[in-house]
Amino acid sequence: MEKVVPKIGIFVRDPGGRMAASLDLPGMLKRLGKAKNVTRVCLLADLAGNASLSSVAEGIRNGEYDRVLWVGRFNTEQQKAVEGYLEGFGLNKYLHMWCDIEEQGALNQKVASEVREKKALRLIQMALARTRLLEPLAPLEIPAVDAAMVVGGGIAGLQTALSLVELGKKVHLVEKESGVGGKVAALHRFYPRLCDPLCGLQFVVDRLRASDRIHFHTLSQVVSIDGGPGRFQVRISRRPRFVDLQRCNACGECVEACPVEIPRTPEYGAFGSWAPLEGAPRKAIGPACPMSFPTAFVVQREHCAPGCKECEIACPAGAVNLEETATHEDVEVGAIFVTTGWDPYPLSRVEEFGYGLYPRVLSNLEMERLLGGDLPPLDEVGFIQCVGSRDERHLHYCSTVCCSATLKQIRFLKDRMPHVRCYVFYQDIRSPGFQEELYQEVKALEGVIFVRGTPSTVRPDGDSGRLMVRAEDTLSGKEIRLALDLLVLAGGMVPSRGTEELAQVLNLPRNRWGFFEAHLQCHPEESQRTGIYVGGCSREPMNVSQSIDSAHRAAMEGLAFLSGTVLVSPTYPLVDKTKCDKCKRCMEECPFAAFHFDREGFPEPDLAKCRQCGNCVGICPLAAVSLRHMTIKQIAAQVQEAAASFLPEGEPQVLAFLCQNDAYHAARAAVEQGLPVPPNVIFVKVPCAGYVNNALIADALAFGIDGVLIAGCQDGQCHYVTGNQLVRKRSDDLSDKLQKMMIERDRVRFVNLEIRDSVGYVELTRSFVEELMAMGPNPFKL
Amino acid sequence: MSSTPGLDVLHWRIMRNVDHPEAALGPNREIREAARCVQCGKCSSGCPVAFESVHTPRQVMRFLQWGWAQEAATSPFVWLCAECQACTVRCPRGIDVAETMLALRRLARRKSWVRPDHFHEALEAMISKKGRVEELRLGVMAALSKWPRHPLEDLLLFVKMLRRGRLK
Amino acid sequence: MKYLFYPGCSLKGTARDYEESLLAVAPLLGLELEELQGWRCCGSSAARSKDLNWAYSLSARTIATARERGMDLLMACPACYANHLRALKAEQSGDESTDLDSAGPGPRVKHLLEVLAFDVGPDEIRRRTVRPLPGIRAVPYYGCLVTRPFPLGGVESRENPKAMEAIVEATGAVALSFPPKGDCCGGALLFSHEAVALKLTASILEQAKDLSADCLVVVCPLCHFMLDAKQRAAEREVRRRFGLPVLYLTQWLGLAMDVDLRKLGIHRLVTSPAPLLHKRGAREPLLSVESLLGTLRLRLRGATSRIGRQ
Repeated sequence: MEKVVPKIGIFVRDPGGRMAASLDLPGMLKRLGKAKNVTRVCLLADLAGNASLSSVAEGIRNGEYDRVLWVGRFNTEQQKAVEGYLEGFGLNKYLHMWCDIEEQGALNQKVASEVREKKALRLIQMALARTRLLEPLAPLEIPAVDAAMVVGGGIAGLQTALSLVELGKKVHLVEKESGVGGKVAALHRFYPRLCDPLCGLQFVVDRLRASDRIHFHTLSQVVSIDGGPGRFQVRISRRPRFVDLQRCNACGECVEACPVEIPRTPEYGAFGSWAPLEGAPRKAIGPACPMSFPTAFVVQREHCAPGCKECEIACPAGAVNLEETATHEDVEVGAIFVTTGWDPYPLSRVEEFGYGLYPRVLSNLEMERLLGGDLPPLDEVGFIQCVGSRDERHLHYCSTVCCSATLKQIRFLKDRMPHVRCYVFYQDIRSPGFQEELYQEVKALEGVIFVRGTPSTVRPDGDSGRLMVRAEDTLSGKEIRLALDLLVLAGGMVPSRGTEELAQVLNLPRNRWGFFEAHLQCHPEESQRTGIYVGGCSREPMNVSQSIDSAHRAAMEGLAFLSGTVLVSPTYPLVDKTKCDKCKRCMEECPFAAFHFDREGFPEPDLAKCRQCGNCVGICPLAAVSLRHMTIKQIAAQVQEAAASFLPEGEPQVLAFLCQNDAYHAARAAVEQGLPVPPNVIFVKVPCAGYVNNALIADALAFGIDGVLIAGCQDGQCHYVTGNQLVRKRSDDLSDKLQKMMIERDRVRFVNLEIRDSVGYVELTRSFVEELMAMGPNPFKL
Repeated sequence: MSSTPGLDVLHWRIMRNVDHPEAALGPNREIREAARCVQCGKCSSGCPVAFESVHTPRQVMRFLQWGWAQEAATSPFVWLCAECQACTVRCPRGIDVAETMLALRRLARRKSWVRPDHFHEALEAMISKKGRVEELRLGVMAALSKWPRHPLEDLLLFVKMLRRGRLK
Repeated sequence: MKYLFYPGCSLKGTARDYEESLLAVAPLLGLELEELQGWRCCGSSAARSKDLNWAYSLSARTIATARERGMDLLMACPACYANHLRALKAEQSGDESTDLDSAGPGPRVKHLLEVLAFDVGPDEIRRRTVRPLPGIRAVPYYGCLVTRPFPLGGVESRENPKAMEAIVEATGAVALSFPPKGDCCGGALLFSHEAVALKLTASILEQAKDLSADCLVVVCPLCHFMLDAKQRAAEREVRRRFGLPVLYLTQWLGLAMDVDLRKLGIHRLVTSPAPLLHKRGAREPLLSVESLLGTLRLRLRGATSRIGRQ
């Protein structure tokens, strides 16, 4: 490819003459006109109306210049309008450079005019340096499949599926159990309207069944994933149902014929999932669990008597096939929605309460099922809150729903048994928002006593089966000793086993509690893997209405990858294969795991996964990675220009790399607020502090810049998760480099700034400048 | 220790911090840990002696949260604590409650808010000077210093122990 | 298995029978105990109530010696055990509030129960049981410091340990399920608040009695003192007769291994063990006037068992 010699047109716009008032504008324009590759310099009168713009367009049309540098203050709308207009004349949008010298303090009249002039020129030269290296770019369209996969068929999964199906997308719903419904199917009632969860579930299921776009994969799990957003290739493994989904009409003949009764376990019912505590015995063949949808029955083969074929014989529809084997299926989807839900925390670990030791100590989930069936005779029932939750020995967090769940259970218990006395042992009652009403209502019920104090041990009351509970009533300081007929432990939520398994398969990061990590507030349902969304309790403990909200939101966010094509901005990373030595650092450090190996073993970003933060650029020890439109060569050229002196002798020159999300705004605000920003600082805006490659810093110092500042977001606030921290990590490599160059380590500084911290920006630049003055000039200074 | 060292300060009705010069908790880590306590009451619930004095362990932690180190350290509860660790093992905030009580005892001694009685002085002397505890001597001193007394019962036990060679 | 044995003050005094029985059964279980020469008091709770550095310094010498000798420490008294473990942990964690310097990987500090349950193990004990105790209803009572705050052997539950149950069952007896097995006996309060201490002791004896226990088995000299020597005082405090023998675990093992009763210090028990020995089938004659009188007294009151509170 022949090398393109750039031809640059510089257009300066100075409404109100602000620049002219502070600088020798004509002189500057003359000097610029002599700069390399500059073919035109012009002071524009006004951009309103097409008069000026058409003169710019003229130059493009006749080939006078093939790229434009704009100097002055332009807001986003103006930039877009200009770019759009000139595109019509053949100027690619990425061949514009916008240089605002005012935001760098070049018009500050408190600074000596000589410095101002030189600085302004320097800034424009920097912009020119980058303009020379610009390339025309166009957004990419990656073909995408408009099918989605939802993993987990509980309420959140069902709602996500429904939201997508109603928008015309095809959905593959993958569920581990034989039926959908998840934990909600095990509840007796849920708040706020205290409806039967089966009603809510049935409502969603009916609407799903009516659609031909949904495909249910029950008894299935995701085993592997390949590809990227827009075209994930997912392999699903399916355990055999032994019953034909088409043929079975749930008549029940097989159940009658089946000779095997499965013993019930209190937590999970016969099929390793939720089933009523009481009722008809479960056989080896029976309806799906937890909810009998799909309607076809399922056989629990491990419970079958050897050689028995009674159900197969009895079935009038010939739907039973005991020889069925496991299968797998490969599907292609544009986005994946993870709604794998929660599991109850194993309460036997909270040993002091005797769960698992004494039959009358139940978990809140077991209480749900008890309330749904026949109640034993009860007089005194205790509820202990926060069992396992908010406890450093178990779960450090609050499980959100347990207080309201207990209140709801008491309401129902009192409805059925008005005489029963209920004691709630709590630390705090958390029933936020409109659930306060539920709390007040239950509190006022007769025979309900709230004890602010947690019991420490539970002992059997002789042989009666009752339980002795002792607590301090902290509000009165008195000792409470109660004999209870039933004790309900409000246990907490932990990420389900499905969550853990899926996290491995999808390589999805989880937070320290094992829930899927989401970037809260900014992108609550988006995980750190582009195209994969997380919703419901797999993200954090929440109640049913919140799960439904979360599910719907995830569906909306994921639509971007389900519209037939994925639009990718052209400013994606490029790996220079002539330089790359395949060290894989970029692959390891990318916060979104966007890199994979290409056929030659070089790292290649998946353009749909990549979020264009530039951390790969920063981490590469050979500076072999660039972002298009912000290549490392472009920035290096800017750095070289920045080194030319514009300050009087003895004044240190500082180059700052500011993250465009926070630090840059703080710097801009400092200038706008008229704060005393030292003129010694010239800054370069970067997408993330993690973009700053050590080579750029070394260059800056080698060219004679006295100090380099890198400012990123506060820890925990970086939009790219760890960009600001990665830069600090690399400072060790940097120290070695600097030592070899015999430059003081303190000439490079890493700081955190928040978006409005203009005062902080001024303080740190001022103190940096002072320290640099004390250190003396850079030994490399010419 | 004096059996009711903190009794005087218990007569305050109104919580005021202006009257308490010991508002600063000082550098003791255990005492500062009290800031993390959520007052759940599990320590009191499991404590064998929680309701044997005017304060429960949770209340003592509460005093510390207000910065009333002296009230806490001179509370009769602190001297009643049996160090059984039932509180420590159940605290959801991971606070070593039993150690806090000991830390308060040490604080009270350091600040001379309490003075050890003869029995404890002698016990400490025995440990540091002799390096061993002579239970005979200890038993006699205990019998003489404790309240209430059951002289006949004690004498009988003394004789039994002697005869069984369990006293040296 | 060789251990450096740190007896502590009680084992040389009121808990003499604990040491005797330990030294009698140790060789039978393959344990070689070498008593630490010139050992010093661990400070009990008195030292830690006064000055933490003083308390740690009392344990420091023992730990240093064990480290030099390259041997694990064996302790029978849970208070000594806990104190030394604390000092060891403080040393190793570089706790700045102490004067201790970490001098390298520490010796292991083990309690006798830990050694019996994990190093020797119930299977071995079963093998060495020559005179099983079938039908004997024993209450394994742990007390505080052997279960908390340090999990026994680093692995046992602090709420519901099973180490002693396993050992008791290995000898053929019935280990009763005893929820208050970790409850405080009040021993630490004996000298300062006797009434409270006796209340706690009585509570344990009552609950054991309600289960028709034949005896209690303990591993702590202070618990033993309260439950055995102070049983009469506890009876007085709650106005109820117990008559429950309280044995050290080592004495119990001695019975199972048919060791001579005198060697186990059985004659030193204050609360007569006669009913237990009788149930076991004692072949030796009664040992002392007190035991004889004790048995008579118990028989007269018909207090060998009193079931329930109903």
